[in-house]
Amino acid sequence: MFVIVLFLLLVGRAVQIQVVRGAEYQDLAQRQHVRELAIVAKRGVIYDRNGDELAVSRRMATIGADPLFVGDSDATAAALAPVLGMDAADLSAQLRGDGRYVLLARRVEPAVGEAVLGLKLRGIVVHPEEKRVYPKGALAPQLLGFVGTENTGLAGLESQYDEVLKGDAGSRRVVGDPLGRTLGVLFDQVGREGSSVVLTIDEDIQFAAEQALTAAVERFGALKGSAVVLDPRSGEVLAMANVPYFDTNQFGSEPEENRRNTAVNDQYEPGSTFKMVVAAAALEEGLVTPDTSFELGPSITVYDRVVSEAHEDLPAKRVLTVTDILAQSSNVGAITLGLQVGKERLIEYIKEFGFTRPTGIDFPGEASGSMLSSDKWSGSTIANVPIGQGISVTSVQLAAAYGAVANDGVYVQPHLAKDTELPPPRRVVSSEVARQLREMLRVTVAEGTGANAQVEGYVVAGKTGTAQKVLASGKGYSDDRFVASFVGLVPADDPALVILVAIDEPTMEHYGSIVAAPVFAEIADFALRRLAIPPSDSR
Amino acid sequence: MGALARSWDHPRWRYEEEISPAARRSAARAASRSREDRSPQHETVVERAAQPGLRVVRRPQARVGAILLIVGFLGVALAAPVGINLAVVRTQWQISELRQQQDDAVADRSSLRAEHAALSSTQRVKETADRLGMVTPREVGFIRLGAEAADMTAASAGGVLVASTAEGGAAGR
Repeated sequence: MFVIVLFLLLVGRAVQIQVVRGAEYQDLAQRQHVRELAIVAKRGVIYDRNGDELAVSRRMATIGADPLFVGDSDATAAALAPVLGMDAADLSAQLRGDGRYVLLARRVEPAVGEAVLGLKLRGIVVHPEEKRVYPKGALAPQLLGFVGTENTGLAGLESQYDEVLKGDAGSRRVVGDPLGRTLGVLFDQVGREGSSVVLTIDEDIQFAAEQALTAAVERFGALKGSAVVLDPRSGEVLAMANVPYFDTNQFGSEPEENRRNTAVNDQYEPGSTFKMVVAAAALEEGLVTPDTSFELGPSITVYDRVVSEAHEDLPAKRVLTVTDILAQSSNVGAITLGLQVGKERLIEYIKEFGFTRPTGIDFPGEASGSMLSSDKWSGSTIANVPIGQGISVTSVQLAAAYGAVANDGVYVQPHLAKDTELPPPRRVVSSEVARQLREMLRVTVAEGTGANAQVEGYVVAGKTGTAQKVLASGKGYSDDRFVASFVGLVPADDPALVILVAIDEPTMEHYGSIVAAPVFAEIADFALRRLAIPPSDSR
Repeated sequence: MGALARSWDHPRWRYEEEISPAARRSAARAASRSREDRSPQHETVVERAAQPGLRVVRRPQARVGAILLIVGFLGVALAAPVGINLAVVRTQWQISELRQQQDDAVADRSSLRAEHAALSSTQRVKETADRLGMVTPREVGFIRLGAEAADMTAASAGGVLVASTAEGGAAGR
């Protein structure tokens, strides 16, 4: 009888523990042994337009230690040091720390993690961690940007599309012992993996642009350079190169000035490439035709400012058509056209072409360009702006403006990611004026300053630019610091590509026709083959 | 001696014979008489004398059975959640293992993808091509095809077939 009573008591107690207060005790136990860990979502992949991976995430191993459990720190350090490639004495010192966790090596190769686990060392833990990897190495580093230690995009497209790429974090419920060691996984709340982003960039064209640009920067002793390759019909940027460039995996260790995407983030005075805008305004307003001729001297005086032609040995009087003004890059001719158009209308066209405000390209920190507001123009400003002085633009603004000319007068916003929501295209100039401009720019390459931009088999249209840089004081222009540039359309009769090349501070030569035009030709030659665009004579 | 007490089983009831001291004495007398005169009538007298001491009791086995049944039920009621919990934990463990395998497979895929991307990078291809003495063709020929053939063979090239005029070259990449 006693045994039965005892048994019933035990059963009663068991019922009380398991059933009556079961939830309470379970909660208590969970609080003691169950921990919730955040799982960082796997970051999405960045692809180029052909599906080649430009940025991927890899699982790496992070090695840590709990000094409380390490025991013999010297012996542990001696075993770990050769595997981690670290100094044994340093490791030993870390393992003797006071805390409960010491980070020994972060995001090392998984094989290293396996090797460490194989050592079966007490107190040493290995856990997985994602690492952003740029498998193409030194390709478009300024464009791609980089991520921080917590896998958050900090620059470039990684930052621009961080919300898309990062996904949503999940959580993992693990059971551990009272000392904090994980014994097993109870539950995984799977987060949402980051989505992928497909760029408009073509890896091959990007590479070719960077190679050609690097060669030019080295050849002419330049400070840096940038190039933009644009499909004018869609606004897709096929390449955006900046030199000097570097291995994207080493982004963090590069100096700040090299990390900048100059084509978008920096602005400069465009010089003669801007003359196209003045010509477009004059044509669109019906003030001139391509064949309208002007009698021009070697210089022109507007209020207190005297502007001369860039080239010397010119006759006192010469007659130039509007086409000649562009082809020979006549400063006097461009200012003459600007005076005809007038300040207000010129400003209107400058804005229509997308200058003085960001293009809206999907890249962080886009510069807007700058120009004096209408009320602050002095009498001589009209003598500056038509020749690309007194106004600052970005390379991408200039490329997009030429893109409108290439696209029959319709401006399409440039963009870097496929499926980007774009504002509707807008007409800047009429189709006829766009055609006239293309023809004038064709003559510029065929007979004028842009001869070095010619590509065998293709008809090229374009404009050279040689802009003096503004002095550091902000007053006046340097005599020995230039930005040499070229913007071209190819094939000229039905442009598939707009390519802009800008070389900053070349020292050996400084003319856009000598420094930048050949780079254009090299990039265009490759891109045309790459895209299988037939030569002009076969069309 | 208690040898006089005996019991036997019945399908439903247990009968127990208890003999009082008077009956014992009477039985002794009867026994001595029976030694002298063993008539069947005497034996019947002895048995009748013992009958008043008999009584019927309930079998204790029935109560134990009920208790065992209850205990068994409670045992099952307690063991069932434990068993279910064990099964859940085991399944969770299996899921966890499978998830780990999936994680590993995804990680391997990522690594292989990165490796593939690195190996197929334009820079590496160019370096390899340079090392092998390959050059970009100087000229590229374009053959315009009929609409039908173009659709079938060169759709990606916009209706033209691209061909290199240099040996072993290819347009584009």
